[in-house]
Amino acid sequence: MLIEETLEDPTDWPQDYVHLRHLDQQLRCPICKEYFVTAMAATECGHTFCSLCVRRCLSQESKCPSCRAPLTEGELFPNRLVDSLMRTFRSGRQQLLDTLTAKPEHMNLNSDDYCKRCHTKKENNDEQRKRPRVCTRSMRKADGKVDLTMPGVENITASDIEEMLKDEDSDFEPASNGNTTQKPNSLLAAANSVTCPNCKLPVTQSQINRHLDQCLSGKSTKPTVESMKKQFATAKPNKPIFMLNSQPAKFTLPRPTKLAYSLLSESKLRRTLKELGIPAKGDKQQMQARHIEWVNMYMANADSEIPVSHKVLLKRLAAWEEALGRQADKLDSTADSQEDHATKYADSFAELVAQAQANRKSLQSQ
Amino acid sequence: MYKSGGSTALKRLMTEYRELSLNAPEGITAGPISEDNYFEWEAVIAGPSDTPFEGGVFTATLSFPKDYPLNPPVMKFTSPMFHPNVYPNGTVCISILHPPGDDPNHYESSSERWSPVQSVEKILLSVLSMIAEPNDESGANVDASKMWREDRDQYNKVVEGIVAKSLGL
Repeated sequence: MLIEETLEDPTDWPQDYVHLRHLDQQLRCPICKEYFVTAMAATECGHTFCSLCVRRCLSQESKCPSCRAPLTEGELFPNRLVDSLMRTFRSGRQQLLDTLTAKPEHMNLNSDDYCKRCHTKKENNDEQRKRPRVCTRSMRKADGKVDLTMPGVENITASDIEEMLKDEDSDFEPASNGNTTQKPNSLLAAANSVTCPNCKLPVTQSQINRHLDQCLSGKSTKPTVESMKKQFATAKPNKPIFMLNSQPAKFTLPRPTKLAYSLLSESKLRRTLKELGIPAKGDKQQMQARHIEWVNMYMANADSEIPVSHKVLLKRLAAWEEALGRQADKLDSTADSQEDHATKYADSFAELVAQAQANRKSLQSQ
Repeated sequence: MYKSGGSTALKRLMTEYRELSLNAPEGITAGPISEDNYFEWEAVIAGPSDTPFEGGVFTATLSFPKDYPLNPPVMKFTSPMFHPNVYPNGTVCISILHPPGDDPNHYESSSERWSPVQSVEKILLSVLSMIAEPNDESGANVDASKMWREDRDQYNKVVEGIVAKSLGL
């Protein structure tokens, strides 16, 4: 199934990384179990849900779905930090998952093999290196963490370990990762920028020596705007999964309000729906359900940092209605729907016609 | 990024199925009967130990509404069951399966009832504890309720028969 393949959930994380599973879980709405879409927190109890999820619940019962403390829609406020945390996490999720799950080939071999491989390497490098050798691979546990409690490692300094790890990393850079090495790591670049002590301008760590030489010799006085731009272009953070819409959404439909449905007659409710610009088909119950959903969708959209146009919202309302298996159109037998019906069942009709003709022929021949 | 009513239910059911199949609580298995329809599940529950139901394996169906998780599923045992909180037709009557605001038996506090933050796993765990400790106040099966209260030996005997039946003996 297509949807299933794209399904992301906290169990994607390897079992050794429980904290990542928890983090993944905590960035999801407890109602729909998906990443928050416009996170809203309850002012009293602080529980956070997607705006639409919690509004749907509250139109059923005015209680917090998590702790059941009394809660109304007026007591919700947008929790933007949660939204941005989630976005940041999601933009790095696949990269982190790939890093954690992709094990170099030799990791699958048993421990004897590691040492054998190290041994060969040791022979090659013995003359160049005078410090005591320790098999760095056996220090690495299967999950890639360094085990410093291994015997014989006590007198190794931190810089030694750093160097060893560097060795390992350069040894086992997967060939397929050409892409990622070419791509400038934005976050790293941002973190690596340092201030030049001479001209006080931010320069990346790798460039600082060259820059200082030039800066002090007076060759390059101050970086031009162009070079600054270039530098920031490489240091720009990864594109978030949900880019902010550059085009402002169009709001064409009036803001709906909750209604006292029991006090409204069917015709009055139908008129209200028409005034709001949403479909006014079906019986009172269907119209009521549609109105409730519309109010929730409208309000959730208004909460959003990235509101969509009402045209999109209307499409979602139709999709929601379709998914619920309610077909308000059924009652409305317009020429349009008849045409739809004819095209939808064209094959069946052709088959029936063919059958009838065959029957007639066989009858005639008899 | 956006989810509509029906696909919210579908996606959530898929997520729950995946989580349940990867790490199911002891004594519980559950999943959709067919991959084509995620709204009908089958659950297999092992009778909890230290209860007369020990050793039995009970099957049940879970039917989810289209607006799940706003409303709870309906759970019905398909193997024979004799329990104070299970209707003679197999439908399970416990508070977690009752939608908010609806209290047919007027005894539950709303805190015990269904909420969208509950899950299939929580339901099945509640059913496990219900099997171990019946609530005779609700009394979905009056005969079982009465027997459990007044003639525990007889109740245990009947349950043993159910356990044997559930194993096809």
